[in-house]
Amino acid sequence: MAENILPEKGLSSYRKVRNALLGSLTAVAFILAVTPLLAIVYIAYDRGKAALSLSFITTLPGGFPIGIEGGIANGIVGSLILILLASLLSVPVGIWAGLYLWDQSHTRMAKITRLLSDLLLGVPSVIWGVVGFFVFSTNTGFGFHWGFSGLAAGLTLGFIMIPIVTRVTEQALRDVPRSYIEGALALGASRFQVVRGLAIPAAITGIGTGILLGVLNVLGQTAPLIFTNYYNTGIPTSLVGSNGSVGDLAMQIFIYIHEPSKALHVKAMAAALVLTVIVLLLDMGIRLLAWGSRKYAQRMG
Amino acid sequence: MNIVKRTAGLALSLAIVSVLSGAGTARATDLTISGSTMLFPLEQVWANAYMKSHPGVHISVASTGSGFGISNAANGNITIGASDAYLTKDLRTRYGSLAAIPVAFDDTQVIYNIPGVKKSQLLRMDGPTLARIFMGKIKFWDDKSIREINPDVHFPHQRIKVIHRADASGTTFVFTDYLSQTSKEWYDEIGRDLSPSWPVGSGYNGSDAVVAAVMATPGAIGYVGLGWINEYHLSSMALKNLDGYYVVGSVKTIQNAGKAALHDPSFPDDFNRSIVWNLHGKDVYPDANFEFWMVSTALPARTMLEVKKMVIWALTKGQQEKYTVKTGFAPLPFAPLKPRLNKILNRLLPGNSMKIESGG
Amino acid sequence: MNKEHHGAVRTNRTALFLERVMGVAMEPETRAQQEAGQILVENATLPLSTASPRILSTDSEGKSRSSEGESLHSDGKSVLKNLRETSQARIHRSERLFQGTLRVGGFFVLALFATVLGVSIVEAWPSISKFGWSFLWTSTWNPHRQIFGAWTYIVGTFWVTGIALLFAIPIAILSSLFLSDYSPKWLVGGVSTLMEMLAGIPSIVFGAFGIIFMVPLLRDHVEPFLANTLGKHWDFFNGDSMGYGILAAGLVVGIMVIPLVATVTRDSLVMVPRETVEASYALGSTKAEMVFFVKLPAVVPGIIGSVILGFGRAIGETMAVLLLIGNQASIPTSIQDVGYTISSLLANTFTYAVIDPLYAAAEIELGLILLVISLVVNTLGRELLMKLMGGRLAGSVGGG
Repeated sequence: MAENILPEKGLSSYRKVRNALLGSLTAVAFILAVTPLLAIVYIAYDRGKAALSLSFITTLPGGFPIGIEGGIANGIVGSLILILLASLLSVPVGIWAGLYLWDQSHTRMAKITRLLSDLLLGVPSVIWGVVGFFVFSTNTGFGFHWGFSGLAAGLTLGFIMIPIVTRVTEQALRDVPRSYIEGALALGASRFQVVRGLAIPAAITGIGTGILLGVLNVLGQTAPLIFTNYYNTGIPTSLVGSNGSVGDLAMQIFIYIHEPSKALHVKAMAAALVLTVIVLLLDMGIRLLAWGSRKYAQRMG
Repeated sequence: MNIVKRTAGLALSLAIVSVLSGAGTARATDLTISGSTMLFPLEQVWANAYMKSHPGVHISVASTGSGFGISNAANGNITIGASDAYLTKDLRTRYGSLAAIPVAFDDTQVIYNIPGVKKSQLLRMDGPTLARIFMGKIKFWDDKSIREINPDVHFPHQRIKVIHRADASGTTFVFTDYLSQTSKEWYDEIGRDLSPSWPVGSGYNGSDAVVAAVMATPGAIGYVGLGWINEYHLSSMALKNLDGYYVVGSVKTIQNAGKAALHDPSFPDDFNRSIVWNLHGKDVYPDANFEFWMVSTALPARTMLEVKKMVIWALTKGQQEKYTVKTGFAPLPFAPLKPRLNKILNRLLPGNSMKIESGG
Repeated sequence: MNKEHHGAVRTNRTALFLERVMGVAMEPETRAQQEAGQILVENATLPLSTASPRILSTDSEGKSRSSEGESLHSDGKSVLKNLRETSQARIHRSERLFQGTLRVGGFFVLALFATVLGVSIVEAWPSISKFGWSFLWTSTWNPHRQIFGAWTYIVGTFWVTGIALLFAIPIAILSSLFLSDYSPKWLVGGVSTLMEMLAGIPSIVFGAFGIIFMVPLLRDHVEPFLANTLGKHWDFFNGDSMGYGILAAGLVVGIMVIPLVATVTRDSLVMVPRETVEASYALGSTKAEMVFFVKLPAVVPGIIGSVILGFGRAIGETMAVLLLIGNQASIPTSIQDVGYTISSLLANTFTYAVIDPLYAAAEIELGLILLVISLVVNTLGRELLMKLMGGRLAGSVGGG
């Protein structure tokens, strides 16, 4: 390897020192980069572990100030509802748009669509919040007039997910070899048959990865919820209208961490730990999915 | 062909959406109260008690800031908007359909964190000095004007760190109202607002965050409602009232303030005035306020009936000390309020107001 | 990421599909032929143009191949195009219908983009038409007097972004150098995966970490230290030692940005041709000289791209900043000052601002400025990296 061919002898001491210094500089930087990230997980565990228990996950917040007793069931249920709603919107639309980009990738329209879809990936989350507010929540002007509600927030998060799912779907479809598609077409399969029977089954792992990726990205979103849902300490009976807001894990952390109460800080850190663990598990799921399909592919190939 | 398909797709999604929203709005006994962070603790207690005594009614409460409460009650996003601020002339002209119902007394108090000054030590403050602190013109705690009001307190040479609210807040409104009434400088340069342009300091989202920041920052000064003072055993400053007395805010002194206001014949029937200025008397806190529920008179009749039931409950049974005083509010003095309240309630649902028989 | 290998498994599925759906039983020879032909086709698959760092674990073989893939692919595309054109006339009506249906999917994306831009522009219009361009450089923000100017918030936003990048970039680049050249091999895979995973921690958790840990640390140790050392000479480092402020916000956002910048930089470092590295050694460079004076300059465009992406991520950051910056509309003059960013102003006051059309419009115009900046920046970063990496790119989505 490269290390062995180094001309160790005959170097001036300046170069030797510089070599060592710059090398250790990178190591220091590496430690500086990884430590804070690990510290976040550790601190969340260290400060939050006192509140962790099974009932923390299964009970609703109570007490005064609210949250001092009980757990985060409202946040977990709410987050699940939001993710479900977001997926209900973004998965069909995203796959649909991804199919379009893949099928007609050469057309000018598709190129523009692809560019705009990519641009949507870069829209800051507050802007999504403002858009969600006007499209779904507010009762004046155009829009759905749903008030602060789970549906409004869920679909706003769905908006955020759409470009992610679109992009990853297109990518997964592109990885399906063209020859199969052309072969099928040449044999007289209709486009619909090709898409349904060939392209989608072949790309399904990739699409799944995309959906998980989208979920991962919207799971911790707090800013759009401030504009479209806010928070609920209970579990709502409806998802629409002025009484339809749901709880949310990220929002719950946001609210608890504000509080002057140390006890609520503990709860906040415990909730942060739960959220982090969920995110990391999802992430691992994505990796396993990608890795598994690769292994599988290698074995079959 | 494409256009047909597109429209079909759109129509389908619209249909799904409308079915969803139809399912959601079917429940008529759901009420949402959202707004003031100050009133939030009381509302939580009320909601729990009300839901217990009125099965079938579901109330969800959220603390989103008074500004939110006003604007969204007016727009119909929520059923009841909670606010610490009354409806200014501006707002009344913009949202003609909004009725403000006073539901409790609260106040805004000045909290501080001065190293070396004991909690038990009473600090005094007057409006002009306070205004100058919040304008950044007085920079140190041992400033001459502060020492003059507090001759018996030894102040450290510590920088003053102003802490205020970052969101639109009724607490801020009440506090800046006091400053505007007492300091011409403040009135001219900044004025009274839920979200004024603060010249100095740092802002935090919610009263809870203000308390946390004041507790954590040596040299800090901030302002919160009475509920927070009780909850976290904070020490607050005695403010100078119109007659020159320095009064510490408490359930009793803010109730005195309310009574003084209500007995003042010039106090408007629709409560569209803060009660900080017309305060005569020894034990009258100068920075007290009504907490309001904002209800749009344009609500559908069925919802309105439920709202009115809830409002009447809050104004009567809801005023019991186990709800109000426990969470840091003063109960409304009912008798002098009754004629005015009836007038407002009459606006909500004409001809049905006399149901209120007795106060709590 | 061996996306290319996906092809192989599909061979069997294709055969199955053809048998089942189309009633065509493939001859064993045909199947074998197709599998043989597969190798060529595998290279011809389109390169990944965007995927998140999370699903992209990098490997050098995959990358060096992607450039070949591009040229092959373009051939394949033109063949396909010809095919398509000649057969256009015979395409069945139902086929067109299906393609039209697909187009609706694309239309959704267009509509979504139009909604985002449309809502922002329409709702901001009262402010745009009233204040014109001067909105950008006016620093008064007084809802009471109906005077609005963006300057304070723009400056605050750039302060936080600037501190974040100043903190993150050197660390990210150096650590990516460490991972690509210095670290033991067993460490690389695990650590870069770990880094990518930690990059997915929601920003609210970073914000909570900031309040619990960073603010007390800065208030009690770092800021007094800064004031006592550098602050003695430059007022820039002096201040109140609040803990909250642009420094806290900037540092936490910096920590959030590090994984992104490091991952993308490492991706471009891997692409430096081995010949270059070996030539450098052959000329007698030490390892550090090779890494810093040969490899690093070679990936400058990639670094710029990663920095731009990091910028795009940092500038839209909301919750962590809101919790830490001190939310005070004043222009910071010192590193210890508090400030305000566009996104945290919106999150704090927008739901109240709707009470007044002009107030709301001014806030949305602020949002529009943020939107335009991040769109431009993200496009720039993406284009740059796309060119550099032949379409492979680690993407990011702004956190909440």
